[in-house]
Amino acid sequence: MKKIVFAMLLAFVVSAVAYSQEVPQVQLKNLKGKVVNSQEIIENDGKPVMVCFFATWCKPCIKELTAFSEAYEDWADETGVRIIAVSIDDARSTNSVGPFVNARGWDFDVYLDANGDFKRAMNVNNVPHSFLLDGKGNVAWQHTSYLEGDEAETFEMIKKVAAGEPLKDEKKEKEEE
Amino acid sequence: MKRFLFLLVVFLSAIQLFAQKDGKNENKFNVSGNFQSDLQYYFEDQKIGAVAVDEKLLSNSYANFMISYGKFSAGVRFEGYYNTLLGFPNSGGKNDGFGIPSYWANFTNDKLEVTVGHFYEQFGNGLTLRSYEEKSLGIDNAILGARVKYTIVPGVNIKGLVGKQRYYWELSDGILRGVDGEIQFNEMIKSLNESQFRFGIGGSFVSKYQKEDNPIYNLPNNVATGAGRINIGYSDFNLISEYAYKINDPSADNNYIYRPGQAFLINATYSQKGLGVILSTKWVDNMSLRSDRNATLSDLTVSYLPEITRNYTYVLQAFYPYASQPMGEWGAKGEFFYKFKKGTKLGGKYGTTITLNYSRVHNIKKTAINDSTPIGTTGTYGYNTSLFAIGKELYYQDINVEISKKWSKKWYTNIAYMNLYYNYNVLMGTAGHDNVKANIAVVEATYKITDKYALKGEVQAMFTKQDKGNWILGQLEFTMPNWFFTVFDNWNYGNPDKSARVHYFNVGFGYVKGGNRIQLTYGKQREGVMCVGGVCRHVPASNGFALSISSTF
Amino acid sequence: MKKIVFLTIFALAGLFLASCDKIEEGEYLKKPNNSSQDPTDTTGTKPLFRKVLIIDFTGHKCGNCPKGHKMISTLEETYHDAVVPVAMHCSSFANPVAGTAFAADFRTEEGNYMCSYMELEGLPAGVINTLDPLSVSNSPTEWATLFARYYDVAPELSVEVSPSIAGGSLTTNVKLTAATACSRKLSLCVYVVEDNIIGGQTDYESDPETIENYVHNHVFRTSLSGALGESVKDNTDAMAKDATIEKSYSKAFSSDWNAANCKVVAFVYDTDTKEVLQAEMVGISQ
Repeated sequence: MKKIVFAMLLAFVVSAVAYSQEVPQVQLKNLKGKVVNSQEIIENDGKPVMVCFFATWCKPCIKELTAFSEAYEDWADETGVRIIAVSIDDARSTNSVGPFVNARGWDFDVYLDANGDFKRAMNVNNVPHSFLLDGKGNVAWQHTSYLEGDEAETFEMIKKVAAGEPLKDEKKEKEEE
Repeated sequence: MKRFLFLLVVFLSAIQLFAQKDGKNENKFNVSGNFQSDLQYYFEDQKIGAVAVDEKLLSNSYANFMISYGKFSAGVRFEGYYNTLLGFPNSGGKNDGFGIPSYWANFTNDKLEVTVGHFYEQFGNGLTLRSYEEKSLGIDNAILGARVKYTIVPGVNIKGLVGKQRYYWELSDGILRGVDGEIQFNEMIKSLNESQFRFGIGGSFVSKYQKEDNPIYNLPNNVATGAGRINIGYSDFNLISEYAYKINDPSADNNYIYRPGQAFLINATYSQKGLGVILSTKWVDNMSLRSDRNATLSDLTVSYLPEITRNYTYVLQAFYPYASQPMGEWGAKGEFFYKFKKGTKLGGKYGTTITLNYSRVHNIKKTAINDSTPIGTTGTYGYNTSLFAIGKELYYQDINVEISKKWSKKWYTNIAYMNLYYNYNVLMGTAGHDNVKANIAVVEATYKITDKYALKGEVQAMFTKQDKGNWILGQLEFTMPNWFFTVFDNWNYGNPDKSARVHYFNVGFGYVKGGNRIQLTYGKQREGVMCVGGVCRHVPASNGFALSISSTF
Repeated sequence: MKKIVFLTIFALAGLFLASCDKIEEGEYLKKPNNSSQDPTDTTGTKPLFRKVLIIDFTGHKCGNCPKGHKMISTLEETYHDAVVPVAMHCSSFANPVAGTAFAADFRTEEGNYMCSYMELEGLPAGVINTLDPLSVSNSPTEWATLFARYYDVAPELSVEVSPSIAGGSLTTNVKLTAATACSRKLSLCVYVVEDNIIGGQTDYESDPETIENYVHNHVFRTSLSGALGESVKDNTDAMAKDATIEKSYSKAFSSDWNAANCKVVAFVYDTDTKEVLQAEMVGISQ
């Protein structure tokens, strides 16, 4: 028990001091079977990129991506944001992801992470989990789970990152004081 | 251990300060990680068969830390089980304790990737090798060793690995060696880059070494398995197929018979905007491979045989989950997605999505090797069969229709109906139990009170004359920014045993902020089965508080 | 560079292709063992040889459990009385069903205790020459491997057992003699098992799956010493070669048991490591 408490403390200490995650280089596949590199797919001419981890069997993921899909055109017009969906479906449903996404008419670029390599590299515990990357490819904000209406906060963050404004971050606020 | 942790904190903090001073983090140290802890307090509840544990409280926790600098990265994981939650693999207490089960270092550039330490890998669809983790089932069969991935030219990728698999806090007896190669012709040949026609091939080979030391049987020290795969695409059409073969591998899974194993998968899909069709079939015989021939349950799996059936998530639809039968099964699946466009009669203002799926799984046809030897007798060839020989016994069948519709800015509904046949004896490993035929209906509705406040209601019902009879489940969930509150009752109102008509009542709430999530629930959990990737785990009934904390940083 | 990597990988692939062992039909079974010990040799003074305890956790409704029973008889064919088997019927698979072939209740208080002590995740389950829950094996073929591993190790102690029945009571004298100097803490267990009990058994490998007149052997009936036995040497002082420890146990012998089919199993184990050091099984003289 002591050790658990200690491990928790450790986790929080580290989370308090360290927050500048970059996207690591990991191999993924696109829907046509091509091997792609995680650092290539997040390029967007210095504009923000949302990386959304999902699975076809995950109901909140579908709700989140449907909500994003409906707003995508407006968001892209206003901020230039690009949304990437990364499926963590394993071999049971990897091959179903293409038709699943296409039928729903989602306009995101979709990549397959069948064995969870990218998911692990980004330290994702559970899906849905989204990362907002700034123009340099650094994680500016992230969000786990999907609660109804979360897209409003997401869009606020995208706008701030697109404009290069600092995010509301208590730690940084303190530093500024 | 404490000292080690303390040093790590100091080290990481120092790196971080150093990195922050420099401002920009191009080619600077990056530290990231995640953390999750699940705790459960157990009360005894004889009515549902829940037991109290001596420890009263059990917990599973883990934390990953990763550090990267340019092309180099390294990571370490801590895990603590005090003691392991019920229903997770523990094998008499092997899993309890605290330690560092994995650590790794990696170098990656555009062409080459080298990993030493613990890693996860999948060849093709996983038929020959899949090392993975599935936290919800307590599965982690990471390989400790070395792996190289290399891109020879664009479109031509090879990988090779050697290592031993993780077994709780120890390593497997057996050693794994494997290679995998893949050629995507459209990438390799420039003139085909933009072609509508796509073509690729791949192959993998895995060999396992485990010293043979049985006094009665001659067992192979080395067992090899190989697979070839192909993908063909034209415009919106895709076809993927893989065939795998394994030489004699007497093991606890196949009751120590000597016949080779085979598996064959075909998956065809067609899709365009608003429409998706999937047809697939598979045939499997004696294809389980583990890095220890004596391993059972979810321990030390090397081959991965994906289920062909759909993975359901509504509680009552997932009540009787299918699990791949490595000793022989034939299955087929059809799945159809269609979206009625916005503005059409059926599509309404926002469009309507309909999903249909059907799957059916049978045994395979096996014949005895001679009149005096029953099928599958230990220390014999086992039996005879031929590729795509389908048996008469039905293992599983499901028909499912699901319709999702957004009615207005405020209303969203999802309804589903499922008809199920479940071969209880084969899939649960029992005898004399009735096979289950069930009808399951689900209605889910979400009402957005305002942009940020929403209420979700769910009613699920299962009707069956077998096993525990009828169930009904009702759930209400209220969500607001960062918070959610949920309450549900799962009632076994149709249990033939009147005293067992139990309410499984649950209440909980959670808080989410950024990459952090905390959730507390109280309630009863029914006894059940959870399956992922051909591996099922018996989840015992429980009654108590559960706390779950997770964080990504 | 490119070529070197390419060639290396393919050379490795070639090596892998060679790394599989095909076993031809007819060679599946090993030739009889050529161990230095010959348990069938009963001429002259019998040298002390290792006898190996197998506790088989089983149940008459467990369809995979006959695999364990078959493995024990296969071992007995080769190793004769070097095999000391105990079948403990426990878990819901052992529940009696009144009015059927499964009416007999083979469960015992000590058996149930051992079943939960071992934290079993499924049946069949066996422990070979140990009482360590971490050493449970669910694979009967592995039992043979583990058996062979212990069988070739010379025992540190000998166990002599002399049971007798008088006036409805079973009395058993046990004598432990150190074959080499021994400084372990020792515990002693004395069980009663019964052979040749006819009853129902589910067997997935038989057709039909229910066998009504299955012969149950080595069925655990009771313990004279408690499930985990009792400590007979609770210190790590050296016990000199040929030094002895003698114990005597007695317990009422149930009239439901057929004494002619009953045997007494005694084994001594290291209290700390739970490893069984020597076992013995002897019929009951009347």
